[in-house]
Amino acid sequence: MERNIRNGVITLFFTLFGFWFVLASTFSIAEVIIGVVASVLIVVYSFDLIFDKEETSGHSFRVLLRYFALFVVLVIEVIKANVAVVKIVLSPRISIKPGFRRIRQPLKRELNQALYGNSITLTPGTLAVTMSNDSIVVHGLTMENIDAIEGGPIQKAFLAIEQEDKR
Amino acid sequence: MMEIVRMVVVAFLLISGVFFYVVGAIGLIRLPDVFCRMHATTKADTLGAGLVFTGLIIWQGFSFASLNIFVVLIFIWLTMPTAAHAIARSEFENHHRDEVEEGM
Amino acid sequence: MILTIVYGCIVVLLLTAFVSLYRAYKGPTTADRVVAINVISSKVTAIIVLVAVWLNQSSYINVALVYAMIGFLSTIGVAKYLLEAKLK
Repeated sequence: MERNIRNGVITLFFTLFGFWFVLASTFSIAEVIIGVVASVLIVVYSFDLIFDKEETSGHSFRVLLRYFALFVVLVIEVIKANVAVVKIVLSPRISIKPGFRRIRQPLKRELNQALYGNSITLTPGTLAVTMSNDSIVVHGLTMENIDAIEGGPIQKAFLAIEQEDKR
Repeated sequence: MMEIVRMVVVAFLLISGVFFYVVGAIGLIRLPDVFCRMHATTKADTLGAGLVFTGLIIWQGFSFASLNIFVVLIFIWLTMPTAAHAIARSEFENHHRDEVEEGM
Repeated sequence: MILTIVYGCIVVLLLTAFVSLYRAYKGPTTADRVVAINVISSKVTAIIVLVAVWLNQSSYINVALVYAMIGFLSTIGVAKYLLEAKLK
């Protein structure tokens, strides 16, 4: 079996079994055996539906560390974004100049593109509207917020993930 | 002493989370158009859910109940931006297609 | 003491859900109403989790998970419908 296929099988099995175990909320032998059998059946019969060959290319420990670093950056950005929203909403006169802009989008893998769109929605004053393989339309409360995406911390974290993936 | 510190942290997390929920609702009423309202509600609800559920997890300690709350938390953090993106995309394609400023 | 705060959080979240209902009633476009319904469903998810902790019934948390899933799916469904049907 190829290495990336094997990594994908292991990841999928433990994700499904962990979800079952948390929802079952018990240590009884019968529940655990049912969970293992169900997870194995799902992995055997629908593995090709859930994982693409290219999408399983780099599930290594280093890439997981990069995703964790991305999560830390994201939490900081979400807190900043909320402080900005509180300032705008609770000020007596709302002063914003909203608008759309199409900007470049540097990522290749589909998982990273989806996470990038979600992260842009959670950064200060920006909302991902629609995206394609090389561009993304962003709605901003002010245009300066959209300028801050290019070269910002979120984009740096994603580029680091793609670099680590290629190696 | 440790117990008191933990209770203060839990109370702070719960109250600040509910504060962000309230700010999201006020933004939903006050802001001028759909996309601005979406800004306020998505960010405020995501962080509000994060703070409230983290507070509950710290209060419960390590148990199956807090693992379940953690699953709900992950689900909300993944789906709130996705839902906002879906609504924004449908509204954009229907009404605002020609207002884009090219910045590439 | 924390139980009192949890009770207060439930009451405040219920009031905010009613405030959001104003936008679902008034909203000039369909997207406004969908946003308002999405906000209410996320608040109700938090309320269910808080009630589960307040009553010390951990199986109610699964209800919150299913409610969040239904709210997400209905939002995506309505957004897809608006996109394909070109409703004005």
